[in-house]
Amino acid sequence: MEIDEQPQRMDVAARIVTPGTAITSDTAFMRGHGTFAEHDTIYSSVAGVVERINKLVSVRPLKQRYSGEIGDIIVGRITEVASKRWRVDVNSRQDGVLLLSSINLPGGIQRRKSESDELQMRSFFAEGDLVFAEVQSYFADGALSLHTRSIQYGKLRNGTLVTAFPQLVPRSRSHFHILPCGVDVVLGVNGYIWVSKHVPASTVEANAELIYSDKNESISDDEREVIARVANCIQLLNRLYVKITDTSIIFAYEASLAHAAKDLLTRDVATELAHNVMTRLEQQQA
Amino acid sequence: MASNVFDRRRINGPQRSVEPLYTAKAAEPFANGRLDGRALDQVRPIFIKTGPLDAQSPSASAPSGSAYYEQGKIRVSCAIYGPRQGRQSNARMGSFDCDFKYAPFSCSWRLSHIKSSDEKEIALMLEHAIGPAIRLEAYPKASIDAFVTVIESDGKAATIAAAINCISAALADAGIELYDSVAACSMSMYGTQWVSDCSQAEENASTCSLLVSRMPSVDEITYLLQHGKTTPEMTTQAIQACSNDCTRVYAVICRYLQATLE
Repeated sequence: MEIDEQPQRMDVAARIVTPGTAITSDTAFMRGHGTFAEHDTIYSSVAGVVERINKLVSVRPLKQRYSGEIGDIIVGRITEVASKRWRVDVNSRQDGVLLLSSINLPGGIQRRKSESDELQMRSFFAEGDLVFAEVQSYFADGALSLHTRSIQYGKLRNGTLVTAFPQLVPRSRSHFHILPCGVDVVLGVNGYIWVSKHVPASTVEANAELIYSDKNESISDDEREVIARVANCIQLLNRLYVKITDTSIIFAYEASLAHAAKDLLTRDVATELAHNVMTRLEQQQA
Repeated sequence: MASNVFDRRRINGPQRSVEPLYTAKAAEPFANGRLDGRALDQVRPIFIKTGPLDAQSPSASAPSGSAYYEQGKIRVSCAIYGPRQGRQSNARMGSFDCDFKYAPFSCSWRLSHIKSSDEKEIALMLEHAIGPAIRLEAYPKASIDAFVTVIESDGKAATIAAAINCISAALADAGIELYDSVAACSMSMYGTQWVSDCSQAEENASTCSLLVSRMPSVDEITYLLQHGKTTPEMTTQAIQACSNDCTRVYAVICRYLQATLE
């Protein structure tokens, strides 16, 4: 990365701005996200930190909505069943779309979707169901097209949803984690996180009907408590703006064992645990 | 006998009538300075907090940004939802909608929980005042909704101005792209004297009021509202003075927003 020597350019980055602040009038810069140009001057359009990569100037706000990229693993909620498609709330500017042609049929049968499939779309996904999906492509208007064509994607059950800031969930190799405490976690990069009882993949593979099942399995009180504890851990990481990864969740979980699950979100305990997690993450990196 | 018949078809007044009591005309409020001792061009102290309505529990129905705003006795809160899927699915631009509500206990008289036409009118004013500041072309097909609740009001024009400032702070909190934050300020006239940011008691005695909402860094007025009678010269003078006040309010909002990011 080249760094310009001129002082006028150097002071562009690492500044906190509010909407309407002039960032630079140097025409050598290109405007990025969170900025707009008028009369050769670049202004910020959000409140946040100015970032500069070579000639590109952008402003990163504290909160931002999820904007999808192809290949993202996300969790969404079905809001509408339309013709040959479902509309999915993906915590973004627009609803995502899951086409009937981009889902797997029970049993993994490969064939074109017929009219009878169209008539029984609600038996696959109904309004309010949570889906674990991948972003396949964009539509012309920027809406996301999703697909669930893999055995691990599909309907989510046996657990609870936690909503976090999307920017806290980094894109990584794996978004489905089986935690050592016996809980499955799906980290959607759109900020929706699903915490559920661990179900071995073999049971789903053995029974094809389970992919679109609406029924929870029986979940014991102990399992419920572990799920609640993990959900609270994720929430406290979110509240104190710590990156949410499998490692940080495990660290928070381990640190939380000294407290009752219901006390985790009180201010003192949450702050203590978040600092604990942050120091452990720093140690791990060093 | 005829004189004793009670006439049901007419409104029967009481036998004896009493002359109504006339209250004395309100005293000149600035004979001994203002009621709360402020200077004539001084705006009441402002308190802002962003994010008070953000849900502590995970929920998809939590607002994407919110703000609480105090200016003297005025207390306003605002929640921003969106940008989210809009109703019209083929719009090139996003839409901005505003909802304004006085809490039933917010004025010195009790208000209905049903939305009055006055509140609908103010909601429309807020849309016009804030709308030009939002980069709606950056949000095609999306809608942004602001829900404003007045918890306590003190002066109608000042309350609308406070609502505008509150929405500005909440929009910035939500990370929505803006050309500039909008700042608003009001003034009232007594005789030939303009006075900034009047309380309800002061407003009652005034003959004319003016509200200016402005984007200071691009130097554009987004909304202007005048009640009562003045001369063009007086109005121009007041717009100028109000604009200066807006710049001061804007500085307060910006300073707060910067402090939250540090």
